[in-house]
Amino acid sequence: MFRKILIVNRGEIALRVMRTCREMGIQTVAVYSDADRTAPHVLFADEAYHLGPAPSNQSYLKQEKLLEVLKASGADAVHPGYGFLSENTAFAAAVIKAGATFIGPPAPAITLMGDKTAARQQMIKAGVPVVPGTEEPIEDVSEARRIAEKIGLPVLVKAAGGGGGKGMRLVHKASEFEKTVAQAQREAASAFGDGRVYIEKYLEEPHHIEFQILADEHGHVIHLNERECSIQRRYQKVVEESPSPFLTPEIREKMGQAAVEAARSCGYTNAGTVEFLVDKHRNFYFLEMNTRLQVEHPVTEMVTQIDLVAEQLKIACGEPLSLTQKDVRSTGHAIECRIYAEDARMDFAPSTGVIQALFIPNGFGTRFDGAIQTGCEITPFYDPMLGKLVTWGNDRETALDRMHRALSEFLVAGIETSIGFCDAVVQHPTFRSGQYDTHFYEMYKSDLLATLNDLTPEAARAAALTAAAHQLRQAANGRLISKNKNKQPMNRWLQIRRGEQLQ
Amino acid sequence: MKFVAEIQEQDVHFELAADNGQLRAIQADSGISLDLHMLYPGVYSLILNHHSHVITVRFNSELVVQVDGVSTPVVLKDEMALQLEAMGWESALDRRMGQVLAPIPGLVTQVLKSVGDVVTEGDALLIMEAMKMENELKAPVSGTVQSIHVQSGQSVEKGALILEIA
Repeated sequence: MFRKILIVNRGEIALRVMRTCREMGIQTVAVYSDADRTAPHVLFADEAYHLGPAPSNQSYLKQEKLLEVLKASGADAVHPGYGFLSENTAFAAAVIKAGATFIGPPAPAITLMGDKTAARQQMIKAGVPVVPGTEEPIEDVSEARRIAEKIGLPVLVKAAGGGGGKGMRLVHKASEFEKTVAQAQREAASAFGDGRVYIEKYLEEPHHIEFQILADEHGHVIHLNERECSIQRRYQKVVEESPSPFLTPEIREKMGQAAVEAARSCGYTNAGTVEFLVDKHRNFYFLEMNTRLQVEHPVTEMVTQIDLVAEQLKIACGEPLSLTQKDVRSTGHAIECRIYAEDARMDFAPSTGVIQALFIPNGFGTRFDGAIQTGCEITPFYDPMLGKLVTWGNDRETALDRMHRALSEFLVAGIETSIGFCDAVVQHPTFRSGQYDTHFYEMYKSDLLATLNDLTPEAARAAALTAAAHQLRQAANGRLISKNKNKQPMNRWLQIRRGEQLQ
Repeated sequence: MKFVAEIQEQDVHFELAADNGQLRAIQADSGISLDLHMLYPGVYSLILNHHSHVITVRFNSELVVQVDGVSTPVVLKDEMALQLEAMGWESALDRRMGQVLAPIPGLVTQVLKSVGDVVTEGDALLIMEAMKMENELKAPVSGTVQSIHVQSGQSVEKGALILEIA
């Protein structure tokens, strides 16, 4: 087994990987930017190396610097987490050239799956169904528009160089086509340094369902069942669960086999995720393969009781898989809510600021993978996800009730978060019924947002009293809290204080 | 001191008084002591009528409270503001509608309008990039662009004045 692992990431995923390393007796090396000197992953690690200024292109994406740290620390393996350099072939190759192990699939598999067009062609060859669309990135926009009209609108414009909803746009009208493609190209260029986009058919009542796979270097490939990821906003996942309430055992079996085939066909090793779109008739289509650990991997861990990071490390060490397909058992139900620093009432605009107070939920069947602490600042430099709250129950209903309880317990003071929005989803009758698809958010947007604006008169009264008392206290402390010149000047509060003789 | 708090379109009327530093809320005829404890700066535990609430209060260009998982702005008016309103004076508290402020911190990637352009409510004014997502900033009102305070390529803080329409 490895002796020391360099984790070239930050936030909750760096901490997640380090936890397993420590359980396995492996030393951990953290890297950090100027903004992250006191971040939890740095505090947890055995060793820590400074990278550079806060922007990720001057720190977490700086390959030469990371390779220097690899050499200086003497780590024998590199774990990339997700995002940043996790799907960067050049980096994976450079790590191997430096004599260390890259904990992930072989470079050619990353290259293939990273190029959505090449991946698609490979899947067609391997007999895995794909969504109709352009096979090549768009070169001639008017030709692409003709193809889009032939496939039938709406179509999705997607980045060829990466995922995560960045560079992805939906086109409803032919007249919007050119403008939308240009927008997607700019966004893709900025997010991935690759502005190429392609188009594909938009399916009816689609479900986004993905299969976790594990593949060792001895030709064994297994899947660990699915995660239902249809609750999305802005094409980013918010709530995920396993098992999917939509799949039948027969279709699960078929999709699992297709996922294994997809991985096998490209010589894949390590952990990976094969994403499918499933339409309302339960036809499934290969969407993409993520050649890394997924954000939502804990959902699978909770139902299978398999530590996916531990499996990644064993596979990267050349060990054969310790289990076969028939050993994989899914028990009960798990659900994950992604807690973002964002304001649902402001169209999910990111929220930045200092976390003034933090109560993290706990209790039976409750897990929080995060890397936040009281006093830490959420900056605009990195992804706005604060962490993932996961609950497990014997059945779906218990898992959902438990999630509602855990969310009610969760307090992040000082910034806006998606906690209230997640609770609105979990409590929504359509979500509770399990009859939902990727249109859930658009369809029930007004219901969900109304829940966020639904205070009881008693709570409103409590809030009003506290706000007034808070203002009086601030005045008493002589602190100026108003930064806006147009708002009430502070000396009025001082007058009140004198009038009331508040101490 | 009498207050009116506007919170989620409800008007909450109350009076706060203090005796020896202990705040009391006065309702109709009787006063109740506020069992309010500060847990952290801006974070309070309030027991009101035996109901336990954890409430946070912060100021972020407006006063925002978080209660029972709901985060919502609250507008507090004290006696003086109420009197000014009763006298028919504009309280000068309302932000001018045509001022477009940055809703998020980020990078201005494209300015779509110029000074003198006539815009209609909902028109895209500029594109900002934050946390790797492109966001269009739309005109809150119709009118003519009076001034633009940012350039493409510039980073802005949340709440920064970006553009004015009149």
